[in-house]
Amino acid sequence: MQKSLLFLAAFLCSSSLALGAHSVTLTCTASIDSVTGYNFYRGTAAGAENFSTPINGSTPISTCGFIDTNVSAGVTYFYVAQAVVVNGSSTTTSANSNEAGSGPVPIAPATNLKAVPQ
Amino acid sequence: MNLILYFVLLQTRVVARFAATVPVDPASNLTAAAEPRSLLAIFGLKHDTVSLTWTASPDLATPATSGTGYAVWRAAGASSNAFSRINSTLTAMPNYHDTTGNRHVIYRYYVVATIGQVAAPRSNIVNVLTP
Repeated sequence: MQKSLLFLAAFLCSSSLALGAHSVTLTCTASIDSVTGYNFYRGTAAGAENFSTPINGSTPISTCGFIDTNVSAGVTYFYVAQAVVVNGSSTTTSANSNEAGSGPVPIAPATNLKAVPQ
Repeated sequence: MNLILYFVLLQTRVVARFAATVPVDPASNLTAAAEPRSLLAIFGLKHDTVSLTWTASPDLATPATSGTGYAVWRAAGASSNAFSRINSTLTAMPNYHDTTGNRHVIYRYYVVATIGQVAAPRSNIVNVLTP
């Protein structure tokens, strides 16, 4: 049984200069159906998401959103989501949401530039 | 010999005093220190240089790997924003020696961390007066 989804995904990038860490925040509109949760999939090219393993792990996320912290500066990522219905031992997934690109993950700048004439 | 030594010491003091009045851009973390010209530079045996150092971007390895590094930009004039890039290839280490400048010129510098086609925001701008 396919679950219908209406995803209006908005993907935002954020970075932490102090830690040199970055993340991509995924938000989406929940399915109109009653679902168990959502799985999120990532790729580094459009249409090339890796569907073998959700980036959120083996447990679907109960709300339609996820923060992907396993990203690198300067790289653009592409994401899709699937709604998941777990009924006993049976798991059913929806069709893919729309695909959304993050844009390049920001690069932390060089700082504390000094110049000395010699 | 004594006359030469007197000339060297006099010029050293003049350079140091002049450098203390160099206009400094109000960007944060900005520091600029003037040093006396070396004897080699005074007697024309060595090009005047400006040594740039900066804190590396946490997103770039040190040394930076292929396709990543730092672009170095320079403008001439205390308030000039006519920056042009002075390193043709990205600099892998967080330092650079500019040997292409002229004497008695205020140069402004900033650097940009780059990964592939993606650039970070520029660093702070630093002003320096060449000896």
